[in-house]
Amino acid sequence: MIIRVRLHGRGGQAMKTAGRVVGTAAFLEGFRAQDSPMYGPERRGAPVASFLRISDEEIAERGYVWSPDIIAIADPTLIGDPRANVLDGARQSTAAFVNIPTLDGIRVGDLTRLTNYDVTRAAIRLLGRAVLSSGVAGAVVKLLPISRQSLEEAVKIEMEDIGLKEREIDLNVKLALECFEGTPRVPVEPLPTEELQQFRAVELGWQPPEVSIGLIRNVGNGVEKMTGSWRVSRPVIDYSKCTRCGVCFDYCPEAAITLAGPDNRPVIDYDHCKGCLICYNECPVKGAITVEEEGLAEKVASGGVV
Amino acid sequence: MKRMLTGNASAAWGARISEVEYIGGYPITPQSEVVELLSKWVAEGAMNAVYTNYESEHSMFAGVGAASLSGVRAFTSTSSQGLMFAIEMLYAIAGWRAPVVFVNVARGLGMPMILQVEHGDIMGIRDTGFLQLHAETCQEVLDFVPMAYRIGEDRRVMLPVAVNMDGFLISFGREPVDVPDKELVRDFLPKYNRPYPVVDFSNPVAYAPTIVDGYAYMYFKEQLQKAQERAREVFYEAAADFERIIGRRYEPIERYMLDDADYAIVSTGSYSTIIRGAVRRLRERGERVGMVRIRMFRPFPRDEFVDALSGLKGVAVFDQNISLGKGGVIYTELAEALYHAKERPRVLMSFIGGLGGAEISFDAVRYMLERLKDAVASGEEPRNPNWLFSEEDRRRLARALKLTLGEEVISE
Amino acid sequence: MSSEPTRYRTLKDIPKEEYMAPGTPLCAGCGAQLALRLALKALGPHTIVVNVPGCVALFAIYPYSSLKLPFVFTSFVAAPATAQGIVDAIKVLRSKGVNLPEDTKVLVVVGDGAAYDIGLQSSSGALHRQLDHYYFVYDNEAYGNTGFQYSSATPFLSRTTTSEATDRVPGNTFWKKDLFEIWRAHGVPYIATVAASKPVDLLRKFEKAARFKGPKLFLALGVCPTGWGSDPQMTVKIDKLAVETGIWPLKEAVYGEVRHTYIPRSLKPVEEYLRTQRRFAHLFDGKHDDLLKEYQARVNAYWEKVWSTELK
Ligand code: SF4
Ligand code: SF4
Ligand code: SF4
Repeated sequence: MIIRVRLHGRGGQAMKTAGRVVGTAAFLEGFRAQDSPMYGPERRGAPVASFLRISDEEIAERGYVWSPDIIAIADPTLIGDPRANVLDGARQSTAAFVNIPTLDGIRVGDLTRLTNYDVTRAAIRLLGRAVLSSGVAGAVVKLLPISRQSLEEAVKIEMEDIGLKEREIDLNVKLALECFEGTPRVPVEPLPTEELQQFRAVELGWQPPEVSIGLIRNVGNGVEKMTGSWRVSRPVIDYSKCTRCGVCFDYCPEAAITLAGPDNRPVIDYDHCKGCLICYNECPVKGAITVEEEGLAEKVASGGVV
Repeated sequence: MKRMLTGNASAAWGARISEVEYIGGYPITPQSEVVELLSKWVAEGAMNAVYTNYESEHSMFAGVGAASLSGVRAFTSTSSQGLMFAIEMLYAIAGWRAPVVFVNVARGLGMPMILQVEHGDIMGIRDTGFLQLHAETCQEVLDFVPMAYRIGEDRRVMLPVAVNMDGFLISFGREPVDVPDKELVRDFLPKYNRPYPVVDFSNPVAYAPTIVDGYAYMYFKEQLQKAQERAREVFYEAAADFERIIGRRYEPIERYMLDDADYAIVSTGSYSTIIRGAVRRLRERGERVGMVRIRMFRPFPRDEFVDALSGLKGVAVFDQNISLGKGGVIYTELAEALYHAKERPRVLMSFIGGLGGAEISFDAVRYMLERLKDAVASGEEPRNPNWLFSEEDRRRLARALKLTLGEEVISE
Repeated sequence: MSSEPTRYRTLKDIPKEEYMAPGTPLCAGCGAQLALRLALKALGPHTIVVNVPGCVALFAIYPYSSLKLPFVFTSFVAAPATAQGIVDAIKVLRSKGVNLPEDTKVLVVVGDGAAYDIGLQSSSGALHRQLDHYYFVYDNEAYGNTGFQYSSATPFLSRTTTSEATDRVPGNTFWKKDLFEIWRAHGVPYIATVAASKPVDLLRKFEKAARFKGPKLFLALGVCPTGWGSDPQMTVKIDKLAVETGIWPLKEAVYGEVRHTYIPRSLKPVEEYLRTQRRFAHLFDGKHDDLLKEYQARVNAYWEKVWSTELK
């Protein structure tokens, strides 16, 4: 039996460490274990994933988990983000953990075995920051045949490895155990190896140079990437106070502000604004730009969670 | 019109009659004469091209690659260490699908440093995506340059090409060479027409984006391979036109005295002249031996080899290179090519020799044939590779070791 | 600079055209991205961009591209040589009657790793050949794209992932390489340092550079929230502090003649700048005061010279 786990988060949410904690916990429990991160060249805020296999037999697999038995979602806005591929290879019986206060109104594809805990709130309460690794690891361990003791030990090992001080390590252990206790268990049903993705070979054949020389004719198509989902804070312009000075436009690194109309009204492109808040910080008029926490409800409304 | 030309001058003339528009230069022995001539012709106005001296081969290849990507016919040449320094850029140029042509003057690879011929440099770029044409004579060096542009710039291919000649023996050796008229070459070689040159603002494109997904990376690599495979048919078309217009005919491999042969020796480059002469003499003595010489090394002329060597009893491969830890490169590739041949030769023997310009005589060729015949007769698996190290070589070495080490390590 | 005719007098004059599509994979609050965005506005639509591995390479991650301009990605070492090939090809094409816009420009965009370290030979060659191109370095003072390792642009005392600060070493112990002076020694027509927090200065320098044929070289500070451990919303403030503490002088050199385009009458203490970034956090444990003094003294010495020569 091999259990395959895929953890989804955003760059900066420490999913690699979460995977390592679970991997070490499985190892301490006496299982065979394999964990690995996957990241492209993208940055903080961009979707990332890490993978984990635990087994009582030989693990004849590597790398990307194409057919997960468990999906852990550290950031619920990833569910609707097409680039996150959260549902890749998932089947109805795949168990999914979502870092969210409640599952009311939440759908993860047509998955039925959903469970949750508000790891972010627990992390902020205990660590003062939304560092999710130990918490997500605790929740995932709950779904696996791994004991509380192994989890505790694994958190200590991995947190020490990344250079945390004793006090921080203790707080991470607390966080992991809280999430472990707080996450309702759902059944996990590993897929037999024979039923993993089918392989059917295809022939592509020679293609003309206009097609095959590796160029992008559609320059500027990067605009199709909705980096608005990276945002944790949202700058909002109060047009009654804004003097149309244009400073926010000048300093937006992302070109996410345009000056519109005859009066050069700054308009924020929320599909792409990453929420760096430079505009807010540089705006010379007090109150012309305010900051709102990016509520989950709003992201659900804007198609973040399906 | 025929005249006495060195291989280097033949390479330069090849570029000149191909009407290259851009040349990047950087000196290295034994190649420098190529860029010296071209820079002079540009300076005199004999060639309508831009010539730029670079500060390294790596930069030089980047420059000619980028010019080719901009829609300009670009040429360069180098050798040995310089080629190795540039190798990263060679992958880039092939990946850009920029049909640059360059002439390599084969020379050994340090350390220890050497100036004389060995094929380690040209073999070292066999995986880059460059097509390869190997010349034996000065005439071939010259003819292969327009041939290379014709094949590389073909829509079905769009790949860079390396033309190889041997250092010193060919690069500095002169022989009579026919330089075809520009007009004839124009008939043979159409203008370079790049799809989506990078300097086109009406169709801006982004070249060579970074790829993060295996499926896309694999697709582009597969397309490079497919383009290589199609170069074979394009070679035949180009060769037919070349013969029709210019009057010399080239096949991907040269077959020599193979009719009713039992044995053959496979080689590439200028030492083939020695081997061919020896084969002819051995024939006169009644030996049923022939020769196959490589002209096109990439794409590898697999089917041609199967056709030429099927039914033979034994084949000896003369490799003037060594893939350390494995053996001769041609031998290894040929073994693969013949693996599925229904009537593959029973014995395939590997000989390494001529490294750093070490001597190969008529008698060395006779020796290869004898060893080959022995192996066929014994029915046992031959030991490979076999080094063509002579007693005379050993005597010279013994003296050198005594001088360097102060004691007699090997007896003369 | 005010004496020279210019299109750029105030922030209001920053062109509205964008040559970079939003939705890039670069970090939120990236200073390098801001500086480049502004530079492209000055350069305009007839710009061919040559780029190498580095953070800006993220502008072309298959199957997306974020620049609306012709773009070539080349090897880490070879950006200036690649630009040379394109510039030379343009010469050939023009001589054959191909119509290219008169203001066609070739722009190399590289990070400090390529500019200060691995690509220095290639750029030295291109500068020596007086290659007519723009060369834009976004200097985030380390190998940012690979996770913030030391480069020869890393400032004194900065922590990087390969120059850690421990109780035995205070981070990077070398002073930042002076690329400006290395460039200047090549006798090129135009060199400038720029900062994204001073957009008018930046735009004017690009405007001025357009007058010259030959290399036009720009060194832009790239405030890097991810590598420096700074607050993304502080990017422009930190950039400004770099200028006002005198750590990042704004200057230009026309045929080697150096002139500072912004001369602070008094310098803010370097500490004010260093404290905004986690890469310097280890310096403020009370045990590194001597080194901080050395840092300040070095900056002071630089400006003493400027004040005595340029403020007469
Ligand atoms: S910076 Fe502030 S005042 Fe100025 S245009 Fe933007 S929102 Fe309005
Ligand atoms: S928060 Fe950042 S990305 Fe968003 S509009 Fe403001 S400056 Fe631009
Ligand atoms: S690592 Fe630094 S320079 Fe690179 S994209 Fe991120 S913030 Fe910008």
